[in-house]
Amino acid sequence: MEKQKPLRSLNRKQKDLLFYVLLMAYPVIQFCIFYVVVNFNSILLAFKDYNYGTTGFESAGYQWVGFKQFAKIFTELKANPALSASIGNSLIVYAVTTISMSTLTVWFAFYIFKNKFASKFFRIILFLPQVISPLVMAVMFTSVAENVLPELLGKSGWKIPPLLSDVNTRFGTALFYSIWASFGTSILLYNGNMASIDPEVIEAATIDGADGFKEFLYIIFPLVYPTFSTFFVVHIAGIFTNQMSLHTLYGEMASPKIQTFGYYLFVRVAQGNLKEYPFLSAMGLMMTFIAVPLTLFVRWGMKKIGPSVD
Amino acid sequence: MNNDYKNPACAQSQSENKNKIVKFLLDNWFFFLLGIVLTLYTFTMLFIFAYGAMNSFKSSLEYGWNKSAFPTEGWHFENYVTALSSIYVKVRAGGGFEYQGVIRMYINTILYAVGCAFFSTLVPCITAYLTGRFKYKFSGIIVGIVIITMSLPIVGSTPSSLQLARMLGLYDSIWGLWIMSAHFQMGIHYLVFHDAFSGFPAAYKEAAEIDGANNLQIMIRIMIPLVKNIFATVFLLRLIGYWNEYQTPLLYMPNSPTIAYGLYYFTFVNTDNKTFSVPMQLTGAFIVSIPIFIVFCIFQNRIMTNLSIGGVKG
Repeated sequence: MEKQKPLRSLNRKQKDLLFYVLLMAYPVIQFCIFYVVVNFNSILLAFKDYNYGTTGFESAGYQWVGFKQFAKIFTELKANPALSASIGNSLIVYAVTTISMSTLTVWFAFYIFKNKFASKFFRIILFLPQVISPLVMAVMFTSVAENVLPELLGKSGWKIPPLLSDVNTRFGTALFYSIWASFGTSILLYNGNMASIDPEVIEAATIDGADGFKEFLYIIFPLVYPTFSTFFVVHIAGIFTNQMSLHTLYGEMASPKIQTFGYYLFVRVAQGNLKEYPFLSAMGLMMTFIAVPLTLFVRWGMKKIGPSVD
Repeated sequence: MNNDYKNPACAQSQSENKNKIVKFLLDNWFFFLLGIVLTLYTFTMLFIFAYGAMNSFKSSLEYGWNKSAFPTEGWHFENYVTALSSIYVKVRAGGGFEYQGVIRMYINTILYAVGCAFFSTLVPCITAYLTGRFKYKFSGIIVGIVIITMSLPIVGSTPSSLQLARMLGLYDSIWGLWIMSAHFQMGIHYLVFHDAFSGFPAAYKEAAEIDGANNLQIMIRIMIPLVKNIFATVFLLRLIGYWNEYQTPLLYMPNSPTIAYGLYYFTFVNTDNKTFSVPMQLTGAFIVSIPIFIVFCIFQNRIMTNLSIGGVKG
């Protein structure tokens, strides 16, 4: 019988490979279980239904039902106004937040990078929503939007309704809040990117007479564009998972008319009914089919229209 | 005075000054605009904090008629004592139910947030090191996985994830969430580490190899210390994130509630007459924020370090 090769007799390449395999094992297994298996199981779950069983707890479980859950989605889309409204709302939220967040974040980062008036202070303020719990921010914001502002403005003769309860203002206010409370880490990432830009390039632009906006448009933006496009695409990936902070503002009681799909899905999952899981998985799968081509298209578009670094 | 004004040299100097001001304004209009927007943003943020803090000291009765002025019936510091004893979550224990209070929830939060933050920083760091140093084809696949999972919009996999967590015995346990959070995929922080490791010259590693260091020694003694500042920043960012998050504990460990989950319960579920009021909710909110706000103040410079994800193209 051949003797087992001791570790010391392995050559450099073999040792490297062994080290690589040993350390890479956990991340790869984790990825396989908690990403591949979870998503594959989610697809399977969409074709099943939960049966409570007729002979007690032991006979309960999931059974194959074909496309039943998908058919149920169309029925529910007609019957349930919250579901149909949530898809439209998600698209509105996506468009507004992506455009406003993408532009404002990179502009604010530029202001901080140029070390303009009070930039260090603004940096801390912009980061605060990351430090304070979203629930805490929501509790404070709700008290101001619902009570303080109507009373304060009412004293000066300008009557406004409670902003998060009134039918006409609640969606806009919640949308404003979700943007207002979302700055933070992305500004640090943009600043990191901007700090690595060669100062001579910026100096040359200043000598050529470029004002702040031109410097941003022709020098800074093209150089941070890879980060910008990464964030832009990541935003799209969240199109049907964005909750617009509704759960932190309203708990499970947000009006059906302002719900987003992400919120609708989360609330139903949180209610913890096993019978609901296949239906929710089927809805998720359907939305994934809409979101994937959209993401790929935007990604392709971002590469096509991206500014030239030259 | 009027003569001075008519003096050609003085007029020229004034005209030059005027031109300078106009040029300054034209060159900086973009920054003025951004400065105004940022000032307004800061004002709204401070306004909300100031009113939140002020109203947390009012009695529920006074808040009914005085929402926007200073307390007129005295400052109710006892609100904080009442809220401390009223933030609890009803959980399943043994065959029945029990109430977990603030101290227990803080212990759960520390275990959950520190553990998840550490493992969810360590795994992307080591994975980024391996993929950056060993140029195997598989390393390219890992980078591809990160890019794809970050931009692949998978919706509605939470039911499946919950089902799997139950099946693997990870449901309703803090260590279960440590395992589930310790991944490299879908992570912008992987890209941060990848960018950092790509920037180090190979000479570091080669010098260590000549000195007889093995792979583990090179990684632990040379390469990881080089990214220790980034590691600390990412860890602190993750720590704050996990501390504040309440939706994952709500779904995955409802019987080991964290303090953020406790605040959710206090705000939306617990409708006890004594505490179901805006001043008490604000008080609860401040109690939850204080520890992590102290952490932020201590490590502010470390947390606010610039990070970079350049170098990896999608």
